[in-house]
Parts: sequence; structure tokens; C-alpha cells
Amino acid sequence: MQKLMTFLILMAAACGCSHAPTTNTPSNSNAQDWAQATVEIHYVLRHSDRRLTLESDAQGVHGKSLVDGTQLKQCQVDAVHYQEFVSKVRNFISQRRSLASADCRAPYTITLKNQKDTLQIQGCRTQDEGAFSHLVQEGEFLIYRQK
Amino acid sequence: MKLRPIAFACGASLAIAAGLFMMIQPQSPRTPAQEMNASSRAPSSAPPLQDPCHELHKLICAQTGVTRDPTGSVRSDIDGEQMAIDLFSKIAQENPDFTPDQVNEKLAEEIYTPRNRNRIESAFRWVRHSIEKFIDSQPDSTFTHWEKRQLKHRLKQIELQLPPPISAYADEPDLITKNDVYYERLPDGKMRLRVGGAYFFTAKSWFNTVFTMAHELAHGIDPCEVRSARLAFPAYDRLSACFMQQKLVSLRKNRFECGANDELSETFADWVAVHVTAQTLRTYSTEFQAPALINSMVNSVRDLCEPPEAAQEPDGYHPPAAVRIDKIFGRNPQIREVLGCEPNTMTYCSFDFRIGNSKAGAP
Repeated sequence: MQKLMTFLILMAAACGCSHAPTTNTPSNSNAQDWAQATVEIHYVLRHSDRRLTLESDAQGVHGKSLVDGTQLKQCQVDAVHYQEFVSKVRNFISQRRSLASADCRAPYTITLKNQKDTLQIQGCRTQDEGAFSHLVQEGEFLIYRQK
Repeated sequence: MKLRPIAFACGASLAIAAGLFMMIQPQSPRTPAQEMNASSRAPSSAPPLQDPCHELHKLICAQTGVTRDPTGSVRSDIDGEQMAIDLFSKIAQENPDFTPDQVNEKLAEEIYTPRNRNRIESAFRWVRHSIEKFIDSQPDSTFTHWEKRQLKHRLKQIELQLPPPISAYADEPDLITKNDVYYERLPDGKMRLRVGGAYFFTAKSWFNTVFTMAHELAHGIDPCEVRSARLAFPAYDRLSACFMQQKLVSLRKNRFECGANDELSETFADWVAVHVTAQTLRTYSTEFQAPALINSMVNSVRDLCEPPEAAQEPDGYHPPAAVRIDKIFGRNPQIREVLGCEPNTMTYCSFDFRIGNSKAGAP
């Protein structure tokens, strides 16, 4: 009986460790916790590997856009607009389930983290009727509108 | 006695005339490959750096900045996207109250002008016609009449989608600032081809546009798309076998044919695009001098070169740039003819490939 209990506990622990955070994991953070958050959007657009990173710290909000490892733009971003964007990212993650399709030619990963929480979702650009593209457009707008 | 000065004068005149004639007589023209070799040489005492007939990839991918041919220019993908972003920033700053959609709409108006649209639409028509001719030129023993009809029908179904209106890309608004040009089959079976806005900054050369359009259009009839349409052509099986024998398709352990890590579709698309581009270059070879022809050829495939960071990490679907440029492009008999290179001694893949047949020939 003891061995069975040990085995069951070990199995439960193994199952808990093998999963990345999913959309079903409730967040421990409140709105204030998300005031200093990092958003990273990583996606493949058929022939190119792209990243959009927005990070909030004590000095402000910094945005960066890269393609195939080369930086396209880096700048300071308006904090108020950034918070609106973080809300959109949270909604996007909470409304979708992660999809891991080996045949997807345009996969993406969105990671949103603060000091308490990390939320992440993986998906396929061509399978969500443009929702991901709109999110990227919003993120790029924050960065590219700056001088 | 008076004849001697006259004879001397005549002889001298003849000698001078002969000398002048020799001076103005043009030397034998160099082949394009020889021109390319000469222009790539460092100081005259140094040996040639690369052989264009065998090291095309090194020559083409060493190009930096803007490369020009008589029809236009090509710059790096990064530079093209940077220019699109700069225009985006300008519009956003001039219109601080604009929403992202409004900025995108204005950006699309500035990029997808009638002139730019016309260039893409012309290339699209030219390429589709070229591929149809290529199919029709295959003997009946390669493709039956019915098979040819099926392939041409698929090509005709592919819709070229370009803004304006911006709603043409309503489900992909971020494409306006990107370089990507791609073919896509939707879940309902519709086929479309789209062009990212930054492409218009990156590539203005007709030859690059032709290669790019041909590559993407060819995806509409590539072996995996044909299979998804529940069609099966023996000629395609032969061609695919050749790609594998010639190592144009990597046979990785984690390769699933027409699935993950399979290069078959991309290799086929390149192979068709090379044929169409070779035809286009040949058309202009009577009009262009050798340097202009070389620049046109460079511009047609310059964007296949990989950025240094990507060189060690193949995406699993595209063959490495060296394979695409040296083997698929550089070994094509018509390309070699345009360059003035000796014929390729290795088999160049065709629909009529047979295992054990090592004869070089046109596709």
C-alpha cells in the first residue's frame, strides 16, 4: 500500500512537472501585478523568424522588433498604451487553448510574465482567423509609431 | 627615280591604315561567366576569387547593399522592411490620432500604388503563362492530355490578392510591413497568393519578381499540393526520385513526406522557378550586354541567400541556400548557357528521369 501511494504521488508529481503553463491555469496576479510585465511574441512567418518584445521596468517600457535575429527597431513605448496592450494579450491567451501541430508552417508562441506569473500559449497563425495577426499589428503599432 | 618617294608614301599609308584597323577592331567578347570572373578579381596579380560556373552561391551571396540590373534593383530583406517601417512611423507621427488600422490603410495606399500593383500583376500573368507553356511542352509520354489540363486548371484557380482595399488583407493586417510573398491553400480549397508590403521596397527588379512569383505559383502544383488534391502523376514520382538521388531533398530521419521537415515542395517550386527565370533571361540575352545579364541573374535569386544567423539552423522546409543556388539554379542547362559555362556533366532533374540515366539534358 505504501509503495502504491509512493508510486501514485510520484506519478502525480511527474504529470505536474511535464506540462508548460496552459491557458487553463488560473493566474495568481491582479491588475497591479501586470503593471510591470514582459510580453514576448515569437512567430515564424513562412520564411522568417520574428520576435516582438515589450518589457516594463522602473525606467519605463521598452519595445524591440527582430527578424532572423536582426533588430529592426528598438524604442521607448508609451506606458498607458502598453497596459492596454497587455490586457489584450491576457485576453488572447485566456480565450484560446494551446495548439501544437507538427504540420503548422506558421507557428507562434506568446509569453506574458510578471514577477508572480507566466502565461503562455502556442498556436498556428493560419488557424485562428486572423486574431494573432491583429495582435501583432497592435504590438508593432506601439513600437513603430515611435521615432 | 620619282617613283621611290611615291612608293614609300603608299607603303607608309598602308601600314598606318593597317595599324588603325587593328586598333579599332573589337576583341572577342567575353562570356558572362568570364565577365563575372573578371569583376570579382582583386588586384590583377591575384588569382580569381570564385568560379561563377561552379561557385555561384558564394558570388551571389557575397553581394551587399543594392544590386542593380536594367529593370530595377534588389536590396536585403532587412533593408526593405526597415524602409516599410520608416514609412509606417512617418504616417503615424503625421497622424497621431490614427488607429493601427488607419495607419495600415494609409501605408497600403502608399505602397500598393497602381504602378507597383501592375508590376506584380504583369509578372503573375507572365509566369503563369510560362508555366502553362512548360507543361504543354512536355511530350504526351510525360503528361497525358488530361494531366496537363488538371495542372493548368489548378494554376488558373490561384488568385492574386493585393490591396487596396486594405480589406484584401483583413485577416493578416501585419503583412503590410513584411517582405513575405506566399502561396496558401485555405481550408475551403481556395488558393491565393499574397505579397507583403515591404517586398516593394526590397525588390524592384523584374527578374526577382519573376523568380518569386514563379516559385509561389509553382506551389499550387507542387507534389504535395497535387497529392492533397488526390491526384497522382507518374511524372511527378520520377521527378521526386531524381530530387532525392541528386540530394536536392534532404532525407532526414525526422522527415515525413509532405509533412514536417520535408523539402520536396520547396525544391519543386525552386526547380520550376529556375526554368521560368532561365526563359526570361534568355529572352533578354539578345538585348543586354554581359554585365547587365549577370546582374539580372544575380538579382533573380539574391534573396535566397540566408542571413548569417540562420545559416546553421535550416527551417526544415527549404534546402540550404547553397543547394538552391549552386545545384538547382546553377546546374540548369539554360542558366549555364546564358552564363557561357560548359554544359553540366551531372544529370539535371526532369519529369523523364530514370534511375541509372546519367545523361545531362534540359528539363
